[in-house]
Amino acid sequence: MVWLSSSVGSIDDIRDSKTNRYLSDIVKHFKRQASPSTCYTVSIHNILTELSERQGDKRIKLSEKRINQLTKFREFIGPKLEIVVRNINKEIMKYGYKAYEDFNGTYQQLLDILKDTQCSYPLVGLAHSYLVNERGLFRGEENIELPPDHVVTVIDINEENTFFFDPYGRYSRFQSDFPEGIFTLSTSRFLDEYWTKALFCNWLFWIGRSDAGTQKLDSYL
Amino acid sequence: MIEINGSDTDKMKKLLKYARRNLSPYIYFSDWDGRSAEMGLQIQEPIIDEEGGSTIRFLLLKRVGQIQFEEGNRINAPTRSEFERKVREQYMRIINHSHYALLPAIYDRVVRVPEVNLAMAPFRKILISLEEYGNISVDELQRELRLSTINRFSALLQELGFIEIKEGVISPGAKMKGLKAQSIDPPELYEKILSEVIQQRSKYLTEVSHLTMIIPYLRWSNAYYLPSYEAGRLVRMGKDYYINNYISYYRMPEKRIVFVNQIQRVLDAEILTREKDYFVGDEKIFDTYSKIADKEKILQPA
Repeated sequence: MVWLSSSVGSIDDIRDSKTNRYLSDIVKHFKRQASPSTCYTVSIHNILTELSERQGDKRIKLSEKRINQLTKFREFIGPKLEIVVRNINKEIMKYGYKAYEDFNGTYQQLLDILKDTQCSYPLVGLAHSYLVNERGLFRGEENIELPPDHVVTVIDINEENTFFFDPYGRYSRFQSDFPEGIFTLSTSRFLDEYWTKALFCNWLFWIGRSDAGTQKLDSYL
Repeated sequence: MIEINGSDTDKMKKLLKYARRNLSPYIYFSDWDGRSAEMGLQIQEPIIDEEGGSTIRFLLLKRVGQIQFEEGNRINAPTRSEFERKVREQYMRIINHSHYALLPAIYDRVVRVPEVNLAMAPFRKILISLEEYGNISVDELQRELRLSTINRFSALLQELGFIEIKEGVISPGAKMKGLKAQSIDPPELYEKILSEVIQQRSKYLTEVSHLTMIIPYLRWSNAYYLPSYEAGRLVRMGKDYYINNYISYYRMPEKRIVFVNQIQRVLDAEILTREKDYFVGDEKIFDTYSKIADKEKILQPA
């Protein structure tokens, strides 16, 4: 784990907790969202692809097209959130993996997922104000009450900083010191301003082993 | 079934969460009355400018469905396909509104396009005959030109005030006299009249008279000028983004060869120009279009 002061150093020095890789290497093949309503589905594609490559198991790699089918994605209205986990699981559980969703995610849970090499990087939903304040989008546009949340992929977190990949990154009006798509926020701001203030507050999604939390048979042998 | 105890805000949040989980993550509520709400949809639209910086704007589609708590804490909401259909309808209203704002800005360029000119030939023939002879009978026109459209097109010109028809004889109408009084003579006179015919009666011409050759010009113009209007400036638009806009607006299957040929015709008509690898609009068209679009509030369908 790299501990950074509040002024974040060079990207070249930072490695993640899960795989000890440079952050830029982790997101090297991450896709940006091709259309506006795909932040969730493209993020699922990214974390599944990364996990599949890291685990050497191509069977769990799903194309964006397949994910769109599974999530009943439609132009403008996006995926049907209610069925995402269930339908992704229909595809990956037969290979020993499972999609998890939690509506009461915690800092500790993020740390655990980000340490566990059997898990994907986690997705979180951030309040719309993140897009306005941190990415400089939608300034001066008509306000609506409780605007939609935005999905990003957390790559690493510590007590000071949270590193994440935003598939909307290319549209940010504010420059980042990191390669396109990677951004950082102070962890306090990330947790209290944006994760907790999302409509689906503290929502968390990740892929792990389907037997996670149960003892494996070989542990008795 | 959903538990609806709690404050009014809690109830609204529960219903909104249900709507976002089951219909679309981009739903917002308006007119919440404690049990029901009118749903709207926030559509996020990327504006990709190859030089001026890309950004995202949003469109608010209002009134795309109602959702409410009913007796026994049941939720009554449209099905997802009903909801999707309504969203598409509202979105198409913006696209179509934009057409009507765009037409006055581009019609003078469109009317000069050879194929549009050809399609408008019956109008031109009526006007030329009238210019030469001062008046002419409808029977004579029909007999000599053998055009089935003469009656309909004469009626349309009369409706717009360019000609008068009395007892089967056509003579110049008040609008045509007005143009001539301003020393507007052929061929400019014909161009002006035909432009106004296209501008005022585009729906009739395309849907009833099947003069559909105007449509690609309008649509390709819209795929450029509507995002530019949202951005508030003429954007430098790359080819892929331009084509994607077109496909997204009109749900067209991708036909690359047809598309580049249609785009070339838009360039030939000087509705757009090409700079390096991207397309740029015309200031005059953009100003006229933006003024009408502002006045008509095309981005806020009622």
